[in-house]
Amino acid sequence: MTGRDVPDDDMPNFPWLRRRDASETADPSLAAVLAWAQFPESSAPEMQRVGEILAALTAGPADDELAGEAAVLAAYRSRPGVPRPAPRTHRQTRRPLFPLLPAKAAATAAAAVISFGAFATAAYARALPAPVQQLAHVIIGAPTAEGKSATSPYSGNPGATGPNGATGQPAGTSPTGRAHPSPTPHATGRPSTPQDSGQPTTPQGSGQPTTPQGSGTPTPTHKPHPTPHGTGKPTHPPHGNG
Amino acid sequence: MIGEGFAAVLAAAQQGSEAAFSRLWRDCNPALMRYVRVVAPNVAEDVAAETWLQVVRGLAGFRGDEQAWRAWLFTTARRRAIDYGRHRARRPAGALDDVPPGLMPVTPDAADLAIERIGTRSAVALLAGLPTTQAEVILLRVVAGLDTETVAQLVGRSPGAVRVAAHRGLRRLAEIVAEAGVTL
Repeated sequence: MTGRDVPDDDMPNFPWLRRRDASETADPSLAAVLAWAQFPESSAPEMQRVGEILAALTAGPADDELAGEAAVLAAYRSRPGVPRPAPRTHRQTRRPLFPLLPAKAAATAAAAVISFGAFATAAYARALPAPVQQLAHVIIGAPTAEGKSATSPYSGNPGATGPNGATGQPAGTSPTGRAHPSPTPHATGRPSTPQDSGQPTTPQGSGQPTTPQGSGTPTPTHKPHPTPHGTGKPTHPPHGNG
Repeated sequence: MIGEGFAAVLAAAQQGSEAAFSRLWRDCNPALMRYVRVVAPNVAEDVAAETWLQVVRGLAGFRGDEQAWRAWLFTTARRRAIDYGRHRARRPAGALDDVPPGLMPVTPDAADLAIERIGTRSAVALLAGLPTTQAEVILLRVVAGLDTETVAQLVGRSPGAVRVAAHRGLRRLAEIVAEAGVTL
């Protein structure tokens, strides 16, 4: 320990003991330096030199101090939570191109479905011209045109009509109206009427193959179908003879 | 310092103006680089880059004037520098004995720096020769342009302690210049 009689210079490792805070902050030169005021005329040369050092610290930017701008701006552009204008513009320019293709394809497909549906509906309603109806019959199994079925090898006897005008359905048609691969001369019941399926019907039912020509002659008695040519259910004896 | 137009520049940068953000960066990055070259000389570029990344992330939520903006920027840089210091303390570098003599880092002599024409790099090197607290306080006061109270909050000291540290640092600089025999 050193006493009060020991000069401060004897403690070079503790220089703050000889420089009080009050004297430091009260130094007009230092205060002027920090306040960026003009140096007093009486300023020591070293203090003016310090002023130059501080002025150099605030000089204009050097090249290497502005070198990282691109990286920082890239981080600024990709910061989260901010809309990115460039990709959005790109997407907007491409939006009219790509979504159009599915729209066109969907419109074409819808038109095709509607057209086919109308064609099939007309075909099953027998509203088409005879050649077209025949074509529909071949393609989608639509019924043939009445009175024109003679030209079809799948048609039944055109003269097989019942007493009320019921006609024999073309042989070889399934109850669904599909073309049957095995043509037969027997007239069969129409698939849409229960007479064809051998269900009990009124005597007006036609198409019962009681004769080779499939005549619709009504019979008072119900006879089981003797041959397997009937297109109705084979387990039920047909009752509605034409 | 941008001055009166700072509020408009900041608002534009917060709304996505790259030019506005570039102006903020160009205004502050030189001072930031000079600061981190003193407080974290070996990792100055990394500290500055991470500082700006954090500023970018928090830019939208910042509210304040130019003084507050600079205080936020330098506070962020100071924290990043402290993090780097802790990281380096956990993972010390290799011994200098392994470094060839020709690759040994050479610290410029303070006197040589003082007598040569003072440039920015020389001034930063002179500041780096001061005790860290004194150098940091001088840089925050002079380079960052912060007032004493803001610097005191930033470094976690009282305003009086900041003034004392600044004056001690300046006096030390004057001593260095005097020891070098500088005459103007």
